[in-house]
Amino acid sequence: MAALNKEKHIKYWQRCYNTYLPTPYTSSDSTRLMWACFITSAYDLLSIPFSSTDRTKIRSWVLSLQHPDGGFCGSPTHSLPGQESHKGTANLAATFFALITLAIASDGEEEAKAAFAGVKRGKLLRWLKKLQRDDGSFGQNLWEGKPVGGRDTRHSYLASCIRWMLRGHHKEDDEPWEDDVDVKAMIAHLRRGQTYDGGLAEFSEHESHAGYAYCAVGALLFLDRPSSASSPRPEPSSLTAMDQGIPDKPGMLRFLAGRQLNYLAGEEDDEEEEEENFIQDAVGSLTLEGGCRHVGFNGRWNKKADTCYVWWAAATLAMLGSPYPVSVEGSRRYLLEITQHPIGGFGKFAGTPPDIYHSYLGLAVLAVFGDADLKDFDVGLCCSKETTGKIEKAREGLLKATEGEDQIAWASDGFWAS
Amino acid sequence: MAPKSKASSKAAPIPESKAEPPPETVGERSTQRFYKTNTLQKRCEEVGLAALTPAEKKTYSHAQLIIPVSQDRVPLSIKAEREYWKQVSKENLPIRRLRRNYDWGQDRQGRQLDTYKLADFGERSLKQARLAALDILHRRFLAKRDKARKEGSELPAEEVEEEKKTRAAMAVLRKELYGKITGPLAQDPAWDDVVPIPQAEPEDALARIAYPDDYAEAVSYLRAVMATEELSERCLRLTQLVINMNPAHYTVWLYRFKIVKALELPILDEIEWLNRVALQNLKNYQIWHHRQLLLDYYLPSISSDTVAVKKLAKSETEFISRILEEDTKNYHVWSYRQYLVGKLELWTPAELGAAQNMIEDDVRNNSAWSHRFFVVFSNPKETTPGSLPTATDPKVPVATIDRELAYAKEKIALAPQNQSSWNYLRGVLVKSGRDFATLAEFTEQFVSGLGEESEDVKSSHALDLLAEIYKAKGDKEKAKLCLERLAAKWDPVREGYWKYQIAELEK
Repeated sequence: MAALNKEKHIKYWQRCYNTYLPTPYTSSDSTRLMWACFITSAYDLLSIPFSSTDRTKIRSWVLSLQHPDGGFCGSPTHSLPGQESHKGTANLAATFFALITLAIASDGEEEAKAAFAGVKRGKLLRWLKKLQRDDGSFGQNLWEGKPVGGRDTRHSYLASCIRWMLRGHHKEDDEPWEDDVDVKAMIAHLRRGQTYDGGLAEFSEHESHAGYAYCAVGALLFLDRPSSASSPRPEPSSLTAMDQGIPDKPGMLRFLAGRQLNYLAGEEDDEEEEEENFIQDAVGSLTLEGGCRHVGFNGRWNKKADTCYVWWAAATLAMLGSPYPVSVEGSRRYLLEITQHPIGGFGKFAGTPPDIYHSYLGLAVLAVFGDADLKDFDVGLCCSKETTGKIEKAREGLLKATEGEDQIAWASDGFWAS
Repeated sequence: MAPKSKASSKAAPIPESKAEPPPETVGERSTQRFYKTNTLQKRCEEVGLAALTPAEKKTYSHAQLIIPVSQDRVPLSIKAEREYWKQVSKENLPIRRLRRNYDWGQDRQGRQLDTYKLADFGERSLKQARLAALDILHRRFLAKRDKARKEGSELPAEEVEEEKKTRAAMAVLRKELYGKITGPLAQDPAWDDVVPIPQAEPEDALARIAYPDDYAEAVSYLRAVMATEELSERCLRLTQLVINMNPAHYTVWLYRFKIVKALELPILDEIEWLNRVALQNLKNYQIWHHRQLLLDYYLPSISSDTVAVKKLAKSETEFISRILEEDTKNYHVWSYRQYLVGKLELWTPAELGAAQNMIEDDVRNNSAWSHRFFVVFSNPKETTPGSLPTATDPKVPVATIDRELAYAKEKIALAPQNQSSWNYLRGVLVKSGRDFATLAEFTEQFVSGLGEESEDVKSSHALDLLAEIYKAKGDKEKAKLCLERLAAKWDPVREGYWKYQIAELEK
């Protein structure tokens, strides 16, 4: 069986890190922080170390995108210099990726504790609260003081993760207290997203989609997730957000199981374009010798297999506690033999050139499957467990600093000065 | 030793130079000129200082000695200076001469200018002269415009057009000569009053993108006008420029919407423009969000005019159909269609028919099935508001349920292994509140001889549904058999899921 071509992947990510991304990335200029996070996180997964100069550079770049009123801007295009800086626009996704990248750029206990130094926690959490609408959904950014953008589960997921990363599970008498988002409304909104086929969408009236399912389940997971691995678990008897947020759990499991398909390599090659964009085998044809050799995943019913949906579907199942196994071997073969690219990275389909998005999510799901070449993976935050550990320390450190204990020490010890 | 001749007080005569070929490059010409103005230098290099005649030696050394003074490195008193010049003149020493290794510099590609052919160099010089001349015209324009503005007037359009041409020509020359890019905005006098805010990124920034030059310029102007909150026609054009290159820019659309509102531009024109953008960017999400904003804003203004609303509904659904022809499962377009149905209350046979036509075209188009479910089961006239799709809704008329079940069954018969139609059938059944067992007869026709030699299954989805039907009936053994056969033969791709179902069965 083909293996992860680690060396090539390392080369691919080093190219992404060291040189300009090609011009076609211009149309995703607004999500540069996501690219930065995927690139640095791939380094982390593949155990490519960062020098201390690199770590300082990553930190200062991420912090340079922080909006003075809280949150992070998607790219330097959206962040303005100096006195105009408050006229830039922070967005949810960028903020999520900024926090994870800051944690990745810390090495060792001490740096991890200081990883969120410089993050305006209070302002950020107040901004987050402002992004929530009355119906419980979240906007992607503020515009003239109001949340704007879709109401889909991506924003709920990002908000839930950011809240977990920065707020921790505070009780109201704890310091430093920040008003929380409306968790009940948040769950109610997600609950309204399940569709008749068990899947999930922005609203239940839309078509179900594995990506939205991941985000909804992830959002609920982080509402339930203890602040850190060591913090006490909630009472097992109490109803979790996950229980409340998914009206039909068996339906959801059925939907996710339905994302797997027997991938027939020959048929994709024959295809002209994306026209016939699903590949469905004739029933019962899989029992031949070597049947499900390649197991692909799609995002919607009757659609074509795509690298990233192995991640979206398998990761969602993992967050639900993997009540049944997906065909790990078949999926690994699909990724490693079909979409892994000879120059490193993964393409979206067979033969497509690698891109950062599919290359990262390809690695991510292989890590979920326990690939020996990759670090243990946190399926909820989509980074290594090691990075999650740093995030927990960083939150702890930031909370302490906000209380005023270490604030001065941090400001003056020059630790992060280049 | 040769007798001292009278001429010896003069500089040694220049040795007859071998006829050198005319220089080809700037460097060669410089070298030749150097030797021409530095007499004896070449000879000295060829034969060595010792081999020169005494007269030559003298001239050569004097020529070297006068250098520091001629270059003003050594100051002399007035008297000494007079003496110096007397001597130079008397000996006819080469006081004005070229220096060696003159540095001509590099061009924009890093090529040394002294490697240029003379003709090419001449052309380059000509370009520089042309640029200088154009710059004078450009400055004259600026001065004239300033003056005109002070007097409260504007320059005639022809002059502005002329200036645009001047700048375009200057931009070409600057790029050719120095590799400097002057973007289209900097070339347009209409933007002269805006100071762009370029991205000042450190060299080691993360995820740097090789932005096209026009993008970097357009964004720097956009940042400037958004910061000053200018709402004008030219800004509208600017948003289009940025949108063409980065339709996922998350604030340019909001800014554009703000301009449209502020200038009270006709919303239908904006929608017309958006149609073109949408057709060029099929996968973009912001376009459809912008469209929603426009509609939300526009509708109240025509809500009392039913003809206008109908016209809008027609043009919108027509455009949706057109774009779905290009991309039948486009997620954003279908989502927008669902928004539109809710907004314009299009719970009509025509809308149902539109979804149906797409299913007829491709029975596996799950987006179309989804839309059908929405049109039927979210219609406020026939359903309970807020009823979840996964829950029974007693308000749905029996006739509607029967119609939908029949439709799903008809399509299943057409393509028994189609996931979408089976999902639809199950969905309708849940809505109806009827027992799964009511589907037993229909479903069993796709399965025969289960567990026997003659076993034949036309649809794994039928087998899946049968397992649930038997389970509901309390026939665990039969349900288990269905699941086992799914795992082993008819749907091994989901083996793990079927085994889990078996375990659930035994709980």
